Amino acid sequence: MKMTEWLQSIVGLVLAPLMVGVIQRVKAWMGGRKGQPLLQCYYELWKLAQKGGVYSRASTWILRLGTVAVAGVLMMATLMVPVGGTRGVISFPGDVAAFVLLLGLARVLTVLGGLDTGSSFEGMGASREMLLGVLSEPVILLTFAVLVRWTAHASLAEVCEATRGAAWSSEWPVAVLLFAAVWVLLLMEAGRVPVDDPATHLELTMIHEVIVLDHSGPELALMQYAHALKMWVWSVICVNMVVPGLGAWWKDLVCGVGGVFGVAMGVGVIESSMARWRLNKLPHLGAGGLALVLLAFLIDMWRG
Amino acid sequence: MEGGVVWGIVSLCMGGLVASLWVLLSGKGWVWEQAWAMVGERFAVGLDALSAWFAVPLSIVGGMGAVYGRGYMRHAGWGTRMRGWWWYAALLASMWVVLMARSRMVFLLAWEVMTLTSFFLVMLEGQGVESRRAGWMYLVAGHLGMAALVVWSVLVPWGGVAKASMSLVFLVGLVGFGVKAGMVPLHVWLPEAHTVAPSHVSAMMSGVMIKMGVYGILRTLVWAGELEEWWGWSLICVGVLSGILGATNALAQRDMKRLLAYSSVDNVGIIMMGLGCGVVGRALGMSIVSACGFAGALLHVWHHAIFKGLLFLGAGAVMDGVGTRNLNELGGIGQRMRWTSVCVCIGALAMAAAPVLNGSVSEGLVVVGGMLGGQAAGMHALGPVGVVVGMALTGALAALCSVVLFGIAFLGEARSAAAAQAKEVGVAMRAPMVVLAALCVMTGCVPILTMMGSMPVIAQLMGNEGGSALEMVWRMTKGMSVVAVSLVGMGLLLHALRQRAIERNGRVWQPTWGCGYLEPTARMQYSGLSLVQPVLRVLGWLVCVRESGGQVAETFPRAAMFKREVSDAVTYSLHRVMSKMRGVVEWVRILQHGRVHAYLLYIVLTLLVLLAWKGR
Repeated sequence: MKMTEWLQSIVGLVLAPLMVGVIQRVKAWMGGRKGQPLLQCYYELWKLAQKGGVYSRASTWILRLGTVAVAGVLMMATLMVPVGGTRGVISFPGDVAAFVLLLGLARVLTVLGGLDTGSSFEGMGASREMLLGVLSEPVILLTFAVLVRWTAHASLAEVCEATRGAAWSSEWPVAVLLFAAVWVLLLMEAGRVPVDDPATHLELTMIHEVIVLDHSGPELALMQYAHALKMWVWSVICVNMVVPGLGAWWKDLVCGVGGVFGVAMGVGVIESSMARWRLNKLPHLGAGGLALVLLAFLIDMWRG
Repeated sequence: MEGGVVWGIVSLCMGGLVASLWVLLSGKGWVWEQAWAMVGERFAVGLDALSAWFAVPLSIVGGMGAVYGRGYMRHAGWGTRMRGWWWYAALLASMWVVLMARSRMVFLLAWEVMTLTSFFLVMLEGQGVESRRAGWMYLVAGHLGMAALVVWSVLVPWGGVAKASMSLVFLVGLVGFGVKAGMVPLHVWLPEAHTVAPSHVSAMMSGVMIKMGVYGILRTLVWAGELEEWWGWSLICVGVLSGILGATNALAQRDMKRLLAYSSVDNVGIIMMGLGCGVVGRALGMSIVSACGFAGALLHVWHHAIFKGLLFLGAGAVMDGVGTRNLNELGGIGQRMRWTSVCVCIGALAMAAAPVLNGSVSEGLVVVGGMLGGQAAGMHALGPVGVVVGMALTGALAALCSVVLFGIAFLGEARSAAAAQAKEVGVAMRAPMVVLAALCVMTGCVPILTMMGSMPVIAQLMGNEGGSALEMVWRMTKGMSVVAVSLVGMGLLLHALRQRAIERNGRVWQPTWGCGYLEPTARMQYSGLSLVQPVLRVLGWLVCVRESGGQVAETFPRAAMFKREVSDAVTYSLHRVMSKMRGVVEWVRILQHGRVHAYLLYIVLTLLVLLAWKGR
């Protein structure tokens, strides 16, 4: 039904900043503090939208195009992703490739917007962000290749519908391995500990935060919203194999959203338990994710 | 008079474009044959869907390059310019004849003329050691490929019945056409020649001439009838190697054109990966895999020609407007060269496979073909999955190449005085870039048009089967179109909202935040090499970097020197092998002494041997 498709996409667009609030709240609880309100991200987006823009004199139309385009691209990706197994608004055979290419475009435009300011801080963030792209892209495409092989469909919606709750079925080895691999991807793409620490104040330790150092006002609001959407999109894909199908579409939607917030709580626990890794260890994380997916592929191949 | 020559070339290209589009859309080809007195051969030319497919980018990039060359060569002397136009027209004509050739001698003669005219064009501007070295390397590599192609043209059936084993024909064709296409490990000439040639010639070579190699392989596949799986595997291996090696080496370059040349190697790898998927799909009977692979490869032939042509023209515009192509001396020219900056931005994003532009449609099709091919049973799935991993790395590295090319050259602050005084180029150079950029956007947003033209070619490659598989390819391109148009719409909506907020709340311009440092300079920005350094630490073994010097030992050091040479792993290994072989080659040179009477003796001896062999 068309209405359910629009509903679950709007749920994604609206609830994504709440994930940030949940993560902050879990971190505060684990640190024995009371923490920010759950809706803090919404308050910040509103506050930023009421401000004017402070632009760097070296920046050009690229920075302004970049912010709008990154937010647009990630909103499109949210429209493609199926929450709780119901199809997204945009779905066609072969859209797994379109999804990956959209995320790649978001990364390139973020980095170009950063390089536009002519600052060495943004340049540093740009080089690290592109390293993350090189490390995560093989894992992403190979994960989708295993999913396509497993389910014999090439559309994101059909793949997710076929693998819903697979972690509790007889095909749990592949499902659990893919769940772990997409968890690693979530950490890399959304920039959480151990890849990048969103709470750090030291520019030399930042990856994503430092690229948007010269963004302000509505531009910064668009970038922060886009970052929250990225986390939403990967959490939905991650949790898809763990959340079982319950029959009615609204039950699946509620379970899916609940699963996503479960992932957010897990990310909060991980962020409170470990420190960010040194940057030269990131290829090891990428290789670990790739190893998990390759193992899943071999198991699927052995099963015939 | 030069204007007349240029308009003549452009109108002939337009005519050729119309003819090939007519052949593609109507699906009817034609052949013209006649007996030929030379060597007792036939003279046969024809235009079918496959030739017409490759003739379209030839016409577009050729015509645009001619208009561009008018502006680019305006400082050269009259003799150089006229020679340049003569060779350019001859190159275009020879490529047309290569595409239309249907008999052995026509093909070989046209191929040789193509190699020679492009050699003269490569050497057109050059005066120095680099230029001569590049020209020689190109000539030698071209003729080594030609040797393989002579064998190929003897063995291949030319549309008739196969006499020799098609596997041998395929292998020989892969080597011969691979040299022209710039496949690793036969790509050694490509970065040298494409850097040294004038920009419109580089655009022509990189966009169209490389594809003549791809055309040859496709023609072999069409005439082969039955395709074997190991052909697909060899295409996939070559494609993955080219993609990864080309993209990694592109990162380490400081010259814009050399970066683009290595990126061409990378994109030829993508085309080979698509072809490999297609062949494996046909051999295993999986028609969807075959359709996606062939469609992706064919579309990438067009799309790469358009965006790489655009990027080379842009690099030439930078050279013209600033005076240097060295990325470490550029920066911030986007504010002074607005037209060039917008066009190169579109080209760079197309190279990075961005969804509104054309690179994403073809690369997406190849990736989906690989993923669907992973459903094959057992070990047969490893080939297509190799395509998926290869496309992933290639795509990520190509995105980084785009960022380096556009971000370091056009964004930020100027790193040298020349860049601070950049001037926009004239209309003759801007107009072709705008046309090609518009084509990038159009073929990305509305890929249905290009798919319509490719249907007869894909049908020919798939052996005229698989209607439902083509249905899936149609749906995927329509979906990409929906994504592109909705993305543009969503972007416009967000832009309107953002502008309203800025108008209401005001905007302020400030210097870039510098963490309190009082004297920032443009040299503090990241350079091309520092931007790619984290990635090169992971993949650096594909790039051979030789550094010497740079050690400063004393407290008050005197002059010190640091030298850094970058060459890719294959070229470096090849040079080492060649230097070891020099001793052997010196022995053969005893026969080459320049004395005519001894050469006459060689001819007499050869004739005696042939007569004896014939008369036994």
